[in-house]
Amino acid sequence: MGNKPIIKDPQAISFMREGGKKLVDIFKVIKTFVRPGVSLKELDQIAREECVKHNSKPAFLNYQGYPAAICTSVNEGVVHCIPDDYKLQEGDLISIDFGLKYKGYYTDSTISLIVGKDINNLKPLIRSVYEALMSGTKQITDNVTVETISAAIEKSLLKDNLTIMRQFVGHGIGQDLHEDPMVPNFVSHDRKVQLPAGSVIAIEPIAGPGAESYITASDGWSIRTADKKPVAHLEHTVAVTKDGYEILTPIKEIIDL
Amino acid sequence: MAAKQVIEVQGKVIEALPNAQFRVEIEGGHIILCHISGRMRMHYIKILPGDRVTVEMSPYDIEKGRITYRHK
Repeated sequence: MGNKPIIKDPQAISFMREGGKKLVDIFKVIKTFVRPGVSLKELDQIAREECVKHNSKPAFLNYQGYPAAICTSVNEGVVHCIPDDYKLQEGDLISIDFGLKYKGYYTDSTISLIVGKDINNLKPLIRSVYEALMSGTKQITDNVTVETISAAIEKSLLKDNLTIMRQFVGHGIGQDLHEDPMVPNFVSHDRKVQLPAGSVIAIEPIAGPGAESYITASDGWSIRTADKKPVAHLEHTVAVTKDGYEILTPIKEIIDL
Repeated sequence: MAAKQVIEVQGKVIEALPNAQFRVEIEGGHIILCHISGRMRMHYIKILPGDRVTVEMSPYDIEKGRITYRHK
C-alpha cells in the first residue's frame, strides 16, 4: 500500500551523515548547559548559535509556524514543547528534540537527560525508551517492513509496562523533515511498506508510566500529559543499508545510560 | 520532530454546549463532541451554530474532536 520511502543515493547519504555528525556535536554543547537554573529559552539560543557555527539551519524554526530551534519537553511534557522561561530544576527529565538542515538534507534526533541528580528516579524510564529505540533499529535491513520495526518497539515498551503515546510517530526523512512512510511505535499505519536500502527514517519512541491522554497548550504546539506523569522521548535518524543499518545521529554516548 | 497521526475533517456546528464544547456534524453525517482549541480561545474567536469548521480528530477516539479553524 502506497506511502513508499524516497531512496537516497550515496552522495545524499553522505550529506546526511555529515549533517548527523554536526547535530550530535551540537547536542554535546547543549548538554553542557543542561543543569539546574538554566532556562529553556537559553538552551534554544545555544542551539541557534551552534547551527550558525556549523553552517547549517535549525530545521524546526518556522516549520509550519514552530517558533524555535528545539523542542524542550520537561517531565510531563510529551513532544513539541516550545522553550519558555522555565528554569530547569534538579531531577527534571528533559527531552530535547532537534533537527538540522545541511546541504539541503534534514537530520532529526532527540535526547532525554536528567537535570543534575536523579532525585525522582526517572533514569529507568529513559533506559526503557532507549531499549525500545534500539529494539526497533536492530530489525532494520534491506527491505524490512515498517511493521517489523513498529512491532519490536511496541513489544519492548509494553514489557516495561509503559504507555505508548500512539499519536506521535516516526517518519521518513531526507530533503523534507517529514517524508513517507510513517513509522509508528506500535503496529498500525504503513505496516506493509518496505524500506529498501537507501531509505532513511527517524525512529522515535515516546512513552511514560501514566495514561495516554494529553492536553495541547494554548500555544498550539506544546503537548503535556493530562495526569502530569512524565514521558521520555528518544530519536535517531537511521539509514537502511544492504546488510543492516547505519545510525546517522548516534546519541548513545550523550544520554549516559 | 514527531509527526502527528491525526485526521482532519470539515464539519458544521450543530449546537453550542456549556464549557466551550460543541456538537459538530462532520463529513459522513457523524455527530461528534468537540472542544475549541486553546489557540482559538486565546484569540477570542467565537463559534456559533451554523459555522463551518475544521476539526482535528484522533484515530483512537472517533467520538471527539478539536476545532482548529472557523471558516469565513
